[in-house]
Amino acid sequence: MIFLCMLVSLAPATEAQFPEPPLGLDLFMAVPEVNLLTREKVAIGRRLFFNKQLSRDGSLACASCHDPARAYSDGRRVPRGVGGAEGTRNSPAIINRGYGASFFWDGRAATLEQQDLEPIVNPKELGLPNLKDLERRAGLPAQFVAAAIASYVRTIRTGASRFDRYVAGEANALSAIEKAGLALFRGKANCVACHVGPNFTDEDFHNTGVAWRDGSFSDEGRYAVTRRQHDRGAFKTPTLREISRTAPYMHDGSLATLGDVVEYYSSGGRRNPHLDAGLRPLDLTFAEKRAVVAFLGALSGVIMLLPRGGNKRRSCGQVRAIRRSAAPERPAIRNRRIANPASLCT
Amino acid sequence: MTMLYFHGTTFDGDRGRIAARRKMMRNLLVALGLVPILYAADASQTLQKAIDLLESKGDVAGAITLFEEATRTNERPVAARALLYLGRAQERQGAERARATYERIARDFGDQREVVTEARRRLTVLNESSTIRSAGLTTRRIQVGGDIDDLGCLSTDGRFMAITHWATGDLGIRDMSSGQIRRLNLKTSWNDSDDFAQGPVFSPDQRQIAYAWYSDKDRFYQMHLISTETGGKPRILVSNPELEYFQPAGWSRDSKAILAGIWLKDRTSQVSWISVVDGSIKALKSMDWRQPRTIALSPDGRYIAYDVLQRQDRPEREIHILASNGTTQNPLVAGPVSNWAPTWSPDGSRIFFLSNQSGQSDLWSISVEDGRPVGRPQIAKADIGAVAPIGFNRAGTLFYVSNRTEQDVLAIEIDHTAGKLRGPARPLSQVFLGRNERPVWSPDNKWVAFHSLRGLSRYGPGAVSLVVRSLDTGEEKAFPAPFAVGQRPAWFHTGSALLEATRDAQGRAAFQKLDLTTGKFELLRPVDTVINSAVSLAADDNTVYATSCDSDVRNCAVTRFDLKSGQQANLYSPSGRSNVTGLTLSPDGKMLAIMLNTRVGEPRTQQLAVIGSDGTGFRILLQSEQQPLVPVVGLGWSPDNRWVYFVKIKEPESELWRVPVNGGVPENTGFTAVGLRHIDISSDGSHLAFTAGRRVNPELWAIDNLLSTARPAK
Repeated sequence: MIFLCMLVSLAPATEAQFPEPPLGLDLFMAVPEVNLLTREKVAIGRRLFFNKQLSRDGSLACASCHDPARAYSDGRRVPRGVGGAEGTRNSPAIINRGYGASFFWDGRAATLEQQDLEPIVNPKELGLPNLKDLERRAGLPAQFVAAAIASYVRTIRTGASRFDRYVAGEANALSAIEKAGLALFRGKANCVACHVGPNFTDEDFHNTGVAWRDGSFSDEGRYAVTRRQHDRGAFKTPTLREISRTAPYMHDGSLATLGDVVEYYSSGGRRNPHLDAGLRPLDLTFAEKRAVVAFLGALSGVIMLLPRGGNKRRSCGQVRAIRRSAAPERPAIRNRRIANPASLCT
Repeated sequence: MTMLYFHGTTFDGDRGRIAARRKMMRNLLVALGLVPILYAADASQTLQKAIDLLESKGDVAGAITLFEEATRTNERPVAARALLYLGRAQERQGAERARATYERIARDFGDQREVVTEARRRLTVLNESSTIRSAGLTTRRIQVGGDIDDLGCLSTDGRFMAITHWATGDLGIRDMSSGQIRRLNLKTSWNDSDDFAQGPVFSPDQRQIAYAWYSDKDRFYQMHLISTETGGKPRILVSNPELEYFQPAGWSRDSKAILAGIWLKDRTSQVSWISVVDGSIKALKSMDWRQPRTIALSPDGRYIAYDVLQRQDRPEREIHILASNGTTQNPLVAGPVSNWAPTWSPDGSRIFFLSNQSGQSDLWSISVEDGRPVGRPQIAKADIGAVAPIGFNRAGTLFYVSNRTEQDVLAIEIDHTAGKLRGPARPLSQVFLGRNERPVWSPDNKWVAFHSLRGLSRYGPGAVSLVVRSLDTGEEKAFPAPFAVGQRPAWFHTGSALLEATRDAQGRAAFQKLDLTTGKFELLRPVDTVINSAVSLAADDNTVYATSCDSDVRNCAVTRFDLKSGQQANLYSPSGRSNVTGLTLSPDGKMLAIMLNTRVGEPRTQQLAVIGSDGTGFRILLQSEQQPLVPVVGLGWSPDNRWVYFVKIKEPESELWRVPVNGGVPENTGFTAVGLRHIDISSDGSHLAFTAGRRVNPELWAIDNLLSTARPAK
């Protein structure tokens, strides 16, 4: 079993023909050459993503905190892990992350493959004691679990929002107040300084003052990774797509509504020694704040869950057949045994 | 003396001994006193006279005689400068003698670094001659000036080039063998409208052209198609206010889609396919504000090479190869240097590109296979200059455009009593000749600040350097601006900083302060409007006067900005047809001279007026009634606040005029210069600084045999 799984993980770099991304997103998405997308791997990754056996007490899966019904966020201020343990940072909406440049709020992971195992072994999240336990439960090498989940996450794409239709030339796709909000977003409110591009993020790190509490940082943010002073209290710019579905907001979930967020930025953020130079009081009027919030609502669209066919649950025999077909080209993996193969093909 | 002289000196045969004797004699004379100094002073004066003859009078032959005389001085800095000017004068008579002069500078004046740098630059521009043969390459200059378009496109068979006919804004097709241009008659002249075509690309069968069309009414670009047959009607493919600019780059092999760079309303850009059927757009790759400049589709249509800024606040570019279906992307060449302007060889096996890794702009090439670089890049032609490649024809000839600038900053004495200018105009900088503009005096008149186009590109971050030059010592400091600066700066009255109206890659306008001690820019105040004139800074170093406009520069007003509080107030907003296009604060800070033009699309008139710096007392000094209009640019005040100087743009030389502030007839000062503009009068009233010369003088060039000299990758 594990042998066959490894065969898949080392599959040749052939790119499956996936549907084009929804309106508004780029055709090009950077995918590591060592983990090109295949339909099979995406399907396995999806099952792993929803598999509660990957948590210590079998109560949680990745999807518990990245719920498709909430645009792959969890609706909580901070996530609850196994045994009710509280996390420290808000669960980000993992949509369009295939276009990301770094991962986690502090960007400590350079790839999705690096990122996606960490929550599984984090005691405050899925809480597995180690990767060996993961391999035992998944019946798959940890490396493959990482590759498969990353592949699945890359297929979670959202676009075709009313904003996208408006930019594509459908002049009536936005209401008057939403158009006013868009003008503010690009102009006076200058949201576009950070929330830019098809995914509404510059993939960079900014200190907006949210972590500054009582004269010190409640969370060092990016500084913990880089040890550069100007990164103190800086966090990665999140996407704004589906933003009206992913409350509460900010890295710590401290702002409950989009109105609160706009109010926060209108006041210029919380002043601190490393506040991003781009932040200044915007002095938005009540009507302007309403317009910006209305525009943000137009960024919800269609979440593409999986390419057609990839959602189909394959039988275990089918999975094995897929793996066998690739077997002759693969190097053998020896002396690896898993005591309790996972439920992948149950 | 002798002992001192020979100490540490080595000799190389007769030449060394002769040189040693000469040098010994010179040192002896220097030690004795006056003679060489007087001689040098004479040479400097001769040089100055020659410059005057050349720049102000256009007497090339007379200037050459004097330059040659000045070169005979033993004062090497003067001799080197004289040679440099001699070369420039000789260029007007042909490249060969100029080339020899520049080569002499490079060979004999290694100790005069600035001059040698400039001489080498001129050599690059000249490319040794209009036709050179070296290392198997033949470089030909095809045309100077006229209808040359660096956004033109070569047909696949290389017989035609589609261009913008910039004299009218129309599209044209140039026959590469005869040089004849056939216009497509989209418009007849600029009197029709301010619309224009840009960036044409031929369809594979050469029957259609896709091009961007700037609609002045809408203030954004559209994508159009037109048949190459005479009488064809344009078809609007895309017209969407959210998409502000198109840069067509090629057609798919099946002619069903057009590859283009698209700039969105937030000034981000993307490389996209545009359906020829319905104009729908598929974004291949988005690029925030690091805008691509060259986008090149491979001959087989499978890959796209494009260059993009490495960072939005730096001038360096990098090149990537993107699969035309969006599946892969690979860097072409890595490194901290700038690599740009990729051009595919006709068989698609190599990409030629420009790089500054040697410190100058060289043409390189590298093999490519399946969208990846193979082997190491190799130099194809060194020191080609900052050129814009157009493309190859089937025979392997690479065509490119060289945009030469010929503008400089100069100063001349001025007599306000007589309203005349005295003596020769002298250049305010000795380096990067032909690239300097917008001079402004420091408050103590000991320094001059100006803009210098020292970047490899004419646009974008790093294109312009802010330069300050000491008039006492000739010391010059250059500060590359990490953002666009399009207006003349103002000095803070401390004399230690400059105020610049800037615009970053995101399109955000601001007032920035350049600290001349640290060389750092400091953001003073973001501005929500477009600054469309030189900025004037009041004596409090806090109040700024400028022309500010709405985003599409249709409505401009005289605006007062308070840097500390951020408050701004429109002092004068013209109603009706007029618009404010220029502004200068009087020396006593009480009045503003302003220029008013009719808005685009109206019958054109122009007014020169004054208004109190508090916004009161608007008064017209001058109204143009002459048709066609003689455009007026550049405003300056006499130190006694009694006269406003201005420039009438005329061919071949523009004229400097003045008009009394209290009313009266304008006077011609009698001073003229080619391309005279950007005038500034020193605070003591003794000198006028100005820009003169043509901003761009394009040349079309070709290099043969490039492909045969490129080695296959190992």
